[in-house]
Amino acid sequence: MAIVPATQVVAADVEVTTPTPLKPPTVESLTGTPGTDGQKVWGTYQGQPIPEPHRIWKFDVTLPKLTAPNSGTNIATPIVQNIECGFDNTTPEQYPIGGRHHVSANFFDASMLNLMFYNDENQTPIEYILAWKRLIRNYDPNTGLDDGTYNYPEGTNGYFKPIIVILQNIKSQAVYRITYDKCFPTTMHPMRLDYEPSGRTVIAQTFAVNRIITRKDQSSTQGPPAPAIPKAGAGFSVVNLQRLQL
Amino acid sequence: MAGPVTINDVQGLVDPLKGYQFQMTVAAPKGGITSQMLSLRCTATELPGISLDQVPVDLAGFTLVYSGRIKFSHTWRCTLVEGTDSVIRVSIASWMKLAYNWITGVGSNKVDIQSTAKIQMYDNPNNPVVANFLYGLFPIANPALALQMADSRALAPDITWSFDYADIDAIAQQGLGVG
Repeated sequence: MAIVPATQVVAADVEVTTPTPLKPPTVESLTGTPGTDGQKVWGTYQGQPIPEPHRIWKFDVTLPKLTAPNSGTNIATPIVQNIECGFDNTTPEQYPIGGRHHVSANFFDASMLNLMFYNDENQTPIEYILAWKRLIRNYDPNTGLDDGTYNYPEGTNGYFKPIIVILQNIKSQAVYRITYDKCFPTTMHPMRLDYEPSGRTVIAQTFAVNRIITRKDQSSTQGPPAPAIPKAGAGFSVVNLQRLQL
Repeated sequence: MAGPVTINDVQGLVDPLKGYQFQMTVAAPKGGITSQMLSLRCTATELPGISLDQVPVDLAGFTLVYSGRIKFSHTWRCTLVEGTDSVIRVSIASWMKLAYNWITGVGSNKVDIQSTAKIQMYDNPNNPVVANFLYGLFPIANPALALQMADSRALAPDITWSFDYADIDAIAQQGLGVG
């Protein structure tokens, strides 16, 4: 095998540092093997432990509590059945200089948030979304009449509300929190009714988001620990250790 | 266990569990039949299976498989010998009609139609050993029954039931179940 130089000169003013080539992974190194004393050895990839994959169903969504504007009674909070978690997006900005296009980053903007609600016989998600929309525009839910007035987004009674998504590990511990800040409902997707199947209805709703705040939850265990290197005499041979370290 | 198996090793095993040493019980059945009647007329059934989903992950040209969610078939069957009063067929049909009345189109809430089944296994002296539970149970199929004069055979419909989840009390004792 040819020796790859550590440094390659690509252009006169650009220097690219090439990392030292790593030993290719094997299925054994990816999986990890139990030690002779039963101690766990995590699989590794390029020298890093491979944590458990995040399971698609390990999440929890917290919606804001809403109260009816007139009576002040609590509006029942619906159950989120699935959610598409968007993130901050950056659009590229192209501009021509010297006969070629250069690209730089344009503004950041937050993705829209799509939620699908479990619908019950009380039509809880519809009531909830309409209650939220009444924070935007004043109208009578019983008559549908409105006086043409709208409300401010900020403040206790404003229509900006946070939606919090907690991502959990396989032990149902919260490991990551995505806060969709200053949300408000936009498109309420049509609800399909059909005489033919023995099905059920769902309510899909899109929310506009002003800011997305992501952070790790430091208070709980976050996946597997970094693989501790067993000391000599702990049931591992040095040969095995070297085989696992790529 | 080191070395080859000896006759002393296999003689030390407990007796095998027999497929006929069971009793099926449905708690508070709907449709006008008693729990005891269902138990007495049950001649065959099955223990529900449990399967763990696989989550395959392709990395660096290899496939690693992680554990997924527990899945149940959500259907369970039992064979009930019919009597001359047709109590099985009528009561199961009544139970299903309670779930959705096909004449009026009116149904019931699940909490009003569901029950719990228990399949108790026994050892040779008839001591209860392991119980399997099925939760959120209600009948979903009262099958067609073929009638003919060529055989001297009792009618015994295979009733199919829906359930939410199953549990085993031996597992529950380890703090892993809810049964």
